[in-house]
Order: sequence, then C-alpha cells, then structure tokens
Amino acid sequence: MSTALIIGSGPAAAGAALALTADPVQQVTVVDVGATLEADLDTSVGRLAATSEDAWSPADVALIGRQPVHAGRGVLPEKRAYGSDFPFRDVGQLDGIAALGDANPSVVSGAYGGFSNVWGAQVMPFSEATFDLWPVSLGEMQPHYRIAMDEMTLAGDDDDLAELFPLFDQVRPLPPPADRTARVLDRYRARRALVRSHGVTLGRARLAFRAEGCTRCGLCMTGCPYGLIYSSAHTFDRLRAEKRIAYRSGLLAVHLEEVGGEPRALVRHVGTGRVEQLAADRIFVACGGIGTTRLVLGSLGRFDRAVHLQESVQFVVPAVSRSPVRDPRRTQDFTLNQFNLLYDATGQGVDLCQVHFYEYNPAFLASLPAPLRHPKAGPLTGGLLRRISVGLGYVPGWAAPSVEVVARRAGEGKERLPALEIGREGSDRWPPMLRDLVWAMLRVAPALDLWPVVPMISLSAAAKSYHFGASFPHDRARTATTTDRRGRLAAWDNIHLVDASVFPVVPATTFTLTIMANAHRIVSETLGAPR
Amino acid sequence: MTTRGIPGVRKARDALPVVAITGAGGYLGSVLVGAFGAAGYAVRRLVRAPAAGSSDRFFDLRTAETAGALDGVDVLVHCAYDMTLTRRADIWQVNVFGTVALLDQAVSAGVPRSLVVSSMSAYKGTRQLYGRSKLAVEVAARARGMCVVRPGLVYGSSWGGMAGTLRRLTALPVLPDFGRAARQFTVLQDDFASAMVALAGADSVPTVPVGIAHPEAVGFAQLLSAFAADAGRPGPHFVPVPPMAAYGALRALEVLRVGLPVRADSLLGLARPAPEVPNSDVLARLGVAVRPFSLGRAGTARTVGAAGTEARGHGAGSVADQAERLPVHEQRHP
Repeated sequence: MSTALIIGSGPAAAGAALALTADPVQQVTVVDVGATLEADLDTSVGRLAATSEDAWSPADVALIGRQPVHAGRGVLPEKRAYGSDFPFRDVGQLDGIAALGDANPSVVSGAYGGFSNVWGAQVMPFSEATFDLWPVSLGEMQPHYRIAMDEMTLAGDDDDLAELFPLFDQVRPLPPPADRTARVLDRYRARRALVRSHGVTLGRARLAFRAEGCTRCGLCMTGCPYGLIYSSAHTFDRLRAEKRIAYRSGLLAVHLEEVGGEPRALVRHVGTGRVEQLAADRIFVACGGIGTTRLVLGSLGRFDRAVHLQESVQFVVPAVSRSPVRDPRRTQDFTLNQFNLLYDATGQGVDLCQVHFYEYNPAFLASLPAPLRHPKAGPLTGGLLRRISVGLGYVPGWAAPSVEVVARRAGEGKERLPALEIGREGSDRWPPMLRDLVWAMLRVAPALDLWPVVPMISLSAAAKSYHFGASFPHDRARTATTTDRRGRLAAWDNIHLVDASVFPVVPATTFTLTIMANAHRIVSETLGAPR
Repeated sequence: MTTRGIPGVRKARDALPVVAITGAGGYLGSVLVGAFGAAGYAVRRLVRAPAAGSSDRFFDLRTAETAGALDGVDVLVHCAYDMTLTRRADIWQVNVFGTVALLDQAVSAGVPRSLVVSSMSAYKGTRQLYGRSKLAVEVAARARGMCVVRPGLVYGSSWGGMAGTLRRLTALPVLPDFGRAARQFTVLQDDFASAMVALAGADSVPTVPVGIAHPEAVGFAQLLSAFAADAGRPGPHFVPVPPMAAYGALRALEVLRVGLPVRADSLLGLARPAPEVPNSDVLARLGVAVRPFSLGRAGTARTVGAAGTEARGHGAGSVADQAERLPVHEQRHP
C-alpha cells in the first residue's frame, strides 16, 4: 500500500481524490479546516429538500434565501450559501492575512468544499490555444476533463462556444432559458455572421448542475435546496460514504517539508491550537491559489519578497435592452448564469474575455437605488427589470493587473503560517482588453439588443474574482519558483501542488473545471510514474 | 510546438493519391494544381464552374456543399476565398462559415490530411477583416487537427493575386508610399507550391500555423519598383500617403459602390503587415527552402520548378499552363 495525503477539500482536492481513489493501493487521507453550514440552516435545507416546492415553509425559504451582503463600494456583494457565510468565514485560515487598499481579504476558504459552495457553477475547458502557453496539451488534458465533467454533471448546449470549448460529448440539456436570454440568442442566430465578425460569440451557459432535477424555484444564487449545483463537498461526501478516503476536519496545514525524501505536513488543530505532524508517501497540496502560495512561501522561508499571481480580473457590466420581456418577477427561471458572451480580442482563441450574463434574481432589486425600490416607483422599476441583464465578466490574467502577495515571517518555528500581505500590482484602470471588449459589445449591441451601460461598468478589487493562480507555474523544468508537470518544486520530490497555483496562465474562461482536471492529471501522471 | 500523428498519404500500389483543391481557378489554386500534378497526385479541382467531362467537382463557399466531392480524397487543399465581398457580415458568412462547413465535411469524409491556406495577414493584433477572418478559419482548422499555412505575398510569372494586382497598379503615374512600416514577406510561387506538396506528404504536420515566406521583409515601395521594372515600366513616382487616410478614402468609395482595383481592407494588410514569419523552421525540417525576393527568378525566362529545382521553362509559367489544361481529367502525373 501507498499513503497519500490531500490538503484541502475544494475542486483541486476533489480532482486529486478522484485519481487517487481510482488506484486500489492508495490509502488516502484528506485533512481540511472543514467549516460547514450551521445546524439550524442545514435542518431548514433538509426540510426543503424533502418536500416539493409548493409545500415549502416560507420561513425556511426566507432563512436560506438570504441575499448577498454588501462588501464595499464598487464591488459585488458577498454571496451567502443557504443563508450562511461559512465559505468565507475565518476559522483560522485567514489569520495574518492583510489586504492592502481595497483588495479582497477573504481569499482562502476554510469551508468543507471550499469556494465551490458559492461558485457560479460555470464550467468550460480552456481553449486549445491556451494550452500553447502550458507544457501540457489539450489532448493530454482531455481524459481528465472528461472525468471532471462526469463528476460535476455538465448541462449546456452544443452551440458556437463548442468551437473553442469542446463539450467532449458529455452535456445534458439545460432548463429553458429566461425570456431575455431566449430573445438575445434568437437575435444572435439571425445576425450571427455580423456578430462573429466583430470577434463576439454567444452561447448558452455551461453549468455544473443536474439540470434534469431543476424546478426553477429561483434560489440558485443563494443555494439550491435540492443540492443540484455541484460542490466538491459532494465528491467528498460520496468518497467518505464509500469509505474510500479518511477525512479529518478541523486541521489547518501550517508547514510542509521533506525529510529524507519523506514528505511531512504540520497541521494545527483549529479548535485547540495543538500541532500534529502527518507523513505520507506523497502529499498533494490543494489549499487554493493563495492558500497554497502562503503555505509554500512559509515552508521554504521565502519572506519579504513579492510574489505575483495572475488574476483573471472581474468586472460587472449591466446591460439594457430596448424591447421589454415579461416582468421577470412573475416568471420562474433558474438564476444561474444564462448565457455567455465571448470576445476574442486577437482572433486566435487565446486572448478571450468572457461575460456571464445573469437574468433577474432578487439581488437585482436589492441593488437598485432606494427610490426605485419604493412602492410608488413600481411601474418604473418593473419597466427597468423587464429590460436589464447583468454580466459578470473576466479579463485574462496576462492582460490584467496581477495580485501581489508578500509573506512575512510570523515568528520562529514551523508552527505558524506566515503573515501575508495582498495587494494589486499595477493600476486600477481598465485593462486595454476590457476597453476593446466594451467597444465590441457596443458594435454588436444593435444586432443583439443588448446595450452595455458603460458608465456603470466596474472593475472588481484585487483578488475578488477568485480566479487567481500561477504563483508556481508548470514549466519544462522545476526550479525554486516553477513546478514540473507533476506540480513539484525543485525543493521537494514528493510534495505536489495541484491547485491553480501551478497554472502557467489564468485565462478569462472559467477555471474550476481545469483546476479539477489538472489535479486529476497531476495525480494520474504521478501514480503512473516511478517515484 | 506539437505535432499531430496524422499519417502521410499512403495509397495502395498503383493508385495515385488524390488531392482536392478548392479555389483551383484562382491564382494560388492554379499554381497548386500544377504542382501537385507534377508531384504525382491525381488532382481534383473543386470549382464553381466545373468543366464538362472533367474530374472537376462543383464547390462554392456560399453553399459549401461538397456532395461527395471529398470521397476518396487523400489531401484537401483549401484555397478558396471570395475576395469580391466587402460587407463584413458577408465576408464572415461566406469565407468563415463556408470554410468551417467544408472542413466539417472533410472530417466526415475521412480526409486524412487537410491543408488550409490562411495568410500572413492573419497575425495577433491585426485589424484587417481579411486577416481576422483567416484567423477564425485557422482556429476552426486547428480544432479539427488540420494544418494551416500562411503564405506571404506570392509572386511569380503567373502574376495573380495581390502581387498581380500591385504589378498592374505600377502602370499608374503616381503610387502611394505608406512609409517604412509598410513591407511584405514574399514567397516565389514555386517555393510556395513546393512547401505545400511537402506538407501534404509529411508524416505529421504541426498544429501551429506554418509561415511560407522568406523571413526578410521587403519594403512596399521596393516591391512596387521591382514589379514596375519587371513589367518594363519606368520607375514609379511615389507620394507619401498616410495609410489610414488612404484606407478611409478607399472605404468611402466602397460604401459608394465605386469599383476599385484594391479593397480598402487589403490596404490595411499592406500597410500593417505581420511582424514575422511564424514557425518557418517547419519547412526547413521538411527540406523546403524559401528564397529571398528576386524577380530575376520569377520571370518566365528563368523560373524554378515545383520540385524546387531550377529549370528553364518548367516553372511558374508552366504550372499555370498545366492548370489551364486540367479540366479534362483528374490530372495524373506521368
């Protein structure tokens, strides 16, 4: 038998666990901070899941349907999962992290399932051309994408997006689109050549959710009562139930080392502060882009030097349409991303900006100016809601300001993570590629009847996109700052980084699927290779 | 750089490999018809006006329906591009979507090797619609595991395509000088043909675009002067013209539906060329050399054969001549 230790329980950890548990000789242990939903909320979710929608208690719905919480000027509100902030809550993993300026301090999740408890569930592989920037090809990634897609259950359409983002024949149908989405996509199909000639491609959402069970209750954004939206916690729930992994929660990894080739992790019990040493034949580190970076910098004693992570910077782009649809408050739709707008800045399938468009959900109403929420403004508000969509967009990491982190020594010994400062390198001005995207959107706006409200476009703060990585990128050779195909730095032979910290680049297309698939690839290649 | 394991053309004994060429009636297509015929291929022209009784098959990018024309084809060479279109939606509909439909049919027909002719105008950062449409075609070709080539400005004794147009323009009393940034990577038509034949028969082809041009760019004014001399005209008079002003003027005339010898979009490609020839090492590995610009080798009096060897009277001119004779049968090299 061989022993393997996974640190973390997010999508990278899930990808690693899937590969490890496919090998019967592996004894797999997962250590995790492991914060979970509060018991009373969990009970409410259980009651809703056990009954049909018409029998739901309004109190339960109100409890788990809490809307996102204001998180500062010009940034998206912080989502809630079933009414709880547990994916963002500091249970020790954020100790010592200082955000500079308006940077996002909640960059490491202590939750069981990590940030996949609150993600948008949008999944796509990276384009083939993106892998030109990796030492791994799309062809090599394909089997791992298939496994990750199968685990997540992909819903989507075989549309123009498949030209760049293959579906690998694993897609299930989405629920019907909302009125606005249907109308925009109809107009796109009718004027496809013109729109495409401007570098713009539209397609429906690609979502990691079991769409066939969707009742269109409208609670997607606050937590599906039926658990249809994938979270890596689902994978770990299954692996635990099948007794294929040992799962230990309440443990925060604080130090990594190899002694005589044996990898070891020091973990601190978040409840007692006690520190324990764990050893295994191999350790797979999946603490998230910044969490892993912090752990590695502290373990290797790399203090007081700036490390840059690529971030696929996020922006919000409201859009209006001239022709109204039905009042969305009186229709029933799923409220995840409905359609994607893709902009290929250089026409080569690599410099891609992506905008996920959302149709109405209650957060729209909550974010309107107060006068528009007044009952007397009803007709005006209704008219507006019948015309607005909100896009959540991303610019590729190589075309946007990076996230700068600096680790500071937090004391002697190995039992503490280093302090970490987080800021943005570069200006907060719009990246040039975002300007190009907005111009392209304006050019195709008459064709689509989807007009970006340019003055209201806002760039999110550093690290707010949660799409960051590339601090220890895969390269041809492993060095002090680059990892080989198996996620290993020069300092370690049997400690593998498996999350976005090893991405060579961070594109604007969603990256959770690739995180999971790449972790699966790293482990698969590692198990297939001699030590 | 990665390569796909697409096997080279392997036919049963006595059977000639079949190459289907779209745009075979155009300049590049006709050059390739001759070259592939000379290299021992049975050539099937996919054209809008097939000659009666010939092996020609009908193909039009506007419909992109091959109707069995790709059956039994070992190599597809896609040269067709409708240069008459000026509206961007039309360009995309015909040249991009038409190409994608063709490539899908090549996949369905099991064509083992497809060579898609792009352009040196297709490069990162191009604003030229032609270049952008070629980039879109490249992405589609790559997704299907096909080989993309980017020829430079192809010139030779047949004098077609953009080189032919520029050569004709040297008859004008005054020519524009777009400045030092305006330059072109060039390739003699026989070198282009040799490269295409080599790629068709290679054991594997790269998944990155292969530039087919000499890496030393030639200034626009120098090109025009050389073309004028080749045409037996006196040295042209150049007038400095800002490229974007010329573009705006041509575009305005296009909107007014005034017939022009050069499209406004083409001018962008001349004034803002690609920065370099991509992946030219691929050709070197295949033993194909691309010679520097020289009209001494391009004229009909002294040309270079399709196989890359110098031969008097068996070069670009004779290739075009062969193209004229093709409609009779699927051309088989003796």
